[in-house]
Amino acid sequence: MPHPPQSRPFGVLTPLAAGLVLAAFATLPFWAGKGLVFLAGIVLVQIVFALSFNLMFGLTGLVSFGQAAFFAAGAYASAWLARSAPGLPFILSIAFGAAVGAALSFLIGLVALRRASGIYFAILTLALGQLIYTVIGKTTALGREDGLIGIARPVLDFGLFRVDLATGDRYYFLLVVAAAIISGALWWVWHGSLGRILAAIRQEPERVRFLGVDVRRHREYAFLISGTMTALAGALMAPWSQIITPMIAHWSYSALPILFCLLGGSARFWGPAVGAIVFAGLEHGTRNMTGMAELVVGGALLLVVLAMPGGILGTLARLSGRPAREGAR
Amino acid sequence: MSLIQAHGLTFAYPSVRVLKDVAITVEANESHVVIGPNGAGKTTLFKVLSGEIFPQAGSIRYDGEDVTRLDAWQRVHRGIGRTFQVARLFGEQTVLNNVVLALECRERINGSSAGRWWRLTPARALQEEAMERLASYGLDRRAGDAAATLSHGDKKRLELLLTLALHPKLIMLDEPTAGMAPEDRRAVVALINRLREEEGLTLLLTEHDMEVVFGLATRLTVLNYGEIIASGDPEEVRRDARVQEIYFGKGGGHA
Repeated sequence: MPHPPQSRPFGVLTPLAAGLVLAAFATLPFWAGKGLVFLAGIVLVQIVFALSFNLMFGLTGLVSFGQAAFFAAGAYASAWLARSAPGLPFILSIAFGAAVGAALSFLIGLVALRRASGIYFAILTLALGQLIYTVIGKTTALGREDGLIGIARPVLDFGLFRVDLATGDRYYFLLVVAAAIISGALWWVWHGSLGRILAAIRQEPERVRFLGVDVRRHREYAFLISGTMTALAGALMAPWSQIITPMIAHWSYSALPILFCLLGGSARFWGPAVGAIVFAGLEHGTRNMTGMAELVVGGALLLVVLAMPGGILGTLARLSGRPAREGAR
Repeated sequence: MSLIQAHGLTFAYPSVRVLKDVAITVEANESHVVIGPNGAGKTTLFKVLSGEIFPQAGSIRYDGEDVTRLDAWQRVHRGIGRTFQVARLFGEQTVLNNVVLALECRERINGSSAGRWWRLTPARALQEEAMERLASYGLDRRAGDAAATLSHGDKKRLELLLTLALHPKLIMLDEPTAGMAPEDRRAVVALINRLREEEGLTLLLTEHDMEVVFGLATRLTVLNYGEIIASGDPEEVRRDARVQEIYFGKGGGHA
């Protein structure tokens, strides 16, 4: 009887690199200054944001321009609940943010996925996203254009003891743990049976349909998971930045995860994470070049997108002779 | 027993009516070939029968059930399979993983846990079944290659293999030998005849090559400008005066 060829192991390089990056994030407060720690916290949130987005973009092949709406929904919903009911456990306000994001992405997915193909879907998500932006900016309970300020970092109550996340770098460590857990969950979806179907839908939706799969329903799953996880990222960010403004719902904020995906490589799970880190590095490295910063960052992005199709990870893999196949991602 | 009974099928694009009141019946275990000049509406008829698009009028019964308003994926659950004129495969994936995915879809349809979303790697049994299926089509040596790298003929065979993996009762093949070399065509004819005779499958096909048509048809239907002009025993249809005139031309023989 013939045997299947040994499925390639996922390789040691990727887990090794992921472990090193995680270690760097986890130890950052011990060797870097406060400014860099704050930036790293933002980057962790953006990594979750971009990885969630890529489940829909790079894996399922849906180009959405309204992802910021879910980020803002999660951030605003959790911050609003935490301010309205200060005694509530932190986990509840985070869960509320995710739930609002889930409900919103379910509704928007239902409407936008009537036209899953290309430009229609992109414009629909853009329009619906801008609608959310406008609604937030005109809602008094959400601070209108000024946003919500002075969002408190929570106290975790474990019954026997309490951990005040407002002191020291504790909330930062919570971000590291949360980002690692969420990334792991997304990794599982990407590489699992559902992920294989979603990747197949990107490549040949008609074939998937004729394998007995409801393609529309599965695109909705991808949209829902992506939107919910994005809202979770937003909910985690609010207590870190302690101020949120309607700008996080703006379409220009929706462009961020797309940028990270193109920069790092959308065909691979970790691509957007690489993109987010490299982008933050570029911005941080050029922050003192008054007037030149945007030029340098923009030029570098242009270079990557034009000269490195498949992004940074795609190019690295090509150089090491491991072309993109689902086993290697 | 009729597997498919369709009546009054009408389909029109804004400027042109492609199907005009078409009625077609497919009997169980027959090899029913639909022929017709380019633009006759063969592919549209296929799309309507498989649920890819819905007709503006008419009804389709499959195995005694009205499936007119069921989407393609729901008809697949009831035992209809389909291949395309240009094979549709998952080009980035390996040949093996194409088959494994089809088997996972079958397990989903059957509600078995081998197709559930939390499984990180496909069940071992499915991988071995996929290898066996590939071996029986002589594709096992390409198992580890990306499907996009297969030759044209191998792509069509792999697509047929994916379709058969779901254990369909009826398969619809849109020009199964298009673009193939003569020896490959004969192999496909032999394979299709074997599927019908040994596995009891019912087939509905479109085809251009007359040698292929008469090599496997047990019933022939001629479509012209969206209307059926003849249907029945292949030899009788071949002798039909209107078919001679419209389809085979005055010389007869080859289209």
